[in-house]
Amino acid sequence: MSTDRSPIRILSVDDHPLLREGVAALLATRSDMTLVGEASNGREAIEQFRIHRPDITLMDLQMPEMNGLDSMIAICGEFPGARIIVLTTYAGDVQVLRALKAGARAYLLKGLLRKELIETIRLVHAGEKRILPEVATELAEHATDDALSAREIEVLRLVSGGNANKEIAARLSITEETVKGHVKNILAKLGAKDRTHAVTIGLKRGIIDL
Amino acid sequence: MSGLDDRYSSSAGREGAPRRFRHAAAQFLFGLVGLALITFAAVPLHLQPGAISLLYLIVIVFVSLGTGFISSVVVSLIAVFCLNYYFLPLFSSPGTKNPLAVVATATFLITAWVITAMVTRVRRLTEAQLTLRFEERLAERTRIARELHDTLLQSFQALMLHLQVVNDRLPPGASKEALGKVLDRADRAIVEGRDAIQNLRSPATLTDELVQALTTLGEEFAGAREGGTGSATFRLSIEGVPRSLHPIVGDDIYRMAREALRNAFRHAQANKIEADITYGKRLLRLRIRDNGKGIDPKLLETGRAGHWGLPGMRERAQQIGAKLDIWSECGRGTEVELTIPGSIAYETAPSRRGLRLFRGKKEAADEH
Repeated sequence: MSTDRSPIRILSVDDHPLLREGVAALLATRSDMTLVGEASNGREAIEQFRIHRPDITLMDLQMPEMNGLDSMIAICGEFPGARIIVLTTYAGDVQVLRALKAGARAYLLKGLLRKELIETIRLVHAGEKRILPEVATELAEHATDDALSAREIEVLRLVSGGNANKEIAARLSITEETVKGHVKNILAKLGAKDRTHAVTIGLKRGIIDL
Repeated sequence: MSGLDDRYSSSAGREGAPRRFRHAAAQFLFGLVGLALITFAAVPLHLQPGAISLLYLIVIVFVSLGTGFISSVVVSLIAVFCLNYYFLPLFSSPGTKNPLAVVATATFLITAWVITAMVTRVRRLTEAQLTLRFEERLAERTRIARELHDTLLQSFQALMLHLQVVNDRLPPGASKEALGKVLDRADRAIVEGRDAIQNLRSPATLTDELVQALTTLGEEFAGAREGGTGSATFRLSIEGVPRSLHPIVGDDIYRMAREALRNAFRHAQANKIEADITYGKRLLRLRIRDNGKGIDPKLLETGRAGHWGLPGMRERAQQIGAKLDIWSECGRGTEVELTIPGSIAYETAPSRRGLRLFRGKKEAADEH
């Protein structure tokens, strides 16, 4: 490995300060990497990106104000060459797909950071994409499943919030019968036994967030 | 299938459409038979029109308990027709109206419909309330999962990074190796915690058979005690045909059973522990018995400090509408009995509180 190159410049985005500190501490031990900025939500991430133009951005997905997905779409729209690594807790196939479509070059689980972060940064910096086997298995498993429509995702999100059909109907300004139809489709597409099970699957596959 | 998701919808029925229709039809038929019986019995018994209308009203109340608004209205119209035709002629002679009969008919109809409307409303409210409780609990679980994710899990993941940095700085040797191993184990523990948070329901209810869950629990506890102070024998017996339980209530039942078994194995010093599950038509009964030292009456009241134990079990039982009884005498063992109404415990149980007569027959027919 050549050491005379300038270090990889990294922007770290996560709403959890302790996690940002951890990433900073890990990067500080590497002479070929340097942390140029930090952000605690998607909006800040865009601002920091404009200022620093980092080589690599580490992006959390669930953040207040603006989430990682929207932030990534904005950054990649403005800077098509941006290299973004998504860091998150769960490997739901739908969430992974969304992140990759939004422009992520790699998808890392936070539980694997200490072993995989440095290697992933190097690979992505070298222009490669990286999906860990754990994440790839999850993707392959549901590759042929019917995807939920935007409306069905909305209904599932409301179900997870503890809303009864009647309340969901009122919120979405549709009839209760339509809501029931959506729920039935959701159960069929996800292979769920009931509403609780559908919410569990929805969370696991990243269709809805916690 | 549709019955499963309907269960949570507020005012709509909880059974699948064909089944619901059959049920309503049976109740409607029952109403007609009731009316006919009263009508034919009235003549030999010399019943007064007042007594007959009261009997008719009773039939209408039963019909409105079991079916929808429309069929009880139809039954009440038929009742009015019978009343007029047989007992209280609307036209005493051709052309002349009997004003008293008109008033009586109107009063009868109004009373019948008011009762029907009230019964329907109360029934809907009760169903909506039950639904609300489950919806609330689902929301509560999601909230707890979110909190745990945002606080505990994220912090642990971050701390692991700090520890990795420390590990990187250590010179190669025994301590570095030991710390590395600990970190690997911590990784696994965090993954377990993460998955538990994600699974809003415990894995026990996913296999959804209480029998299997209890067998596993019994083996687990009996195994854990081996090498300890003697081992207790565990026996599980089942009466009736096992049925799937409601997901959330099933989870609660499992947890209460687990607590009762844990107490028996850990604290009772028993050498014989027995569990019975009775899958009744209207009740699910779970009994856990041991021949151990019994529970101190004071403990039975308050529970041990810092233990989820008995008060927790009582609280859970009350929340799901179950009955928890505990009998214990010092030196003579303990018996815990949990009784849950079938309409709450079973996944596809009809929830309507109509006439049990037809339901009982139908279920008996289904079983054979």
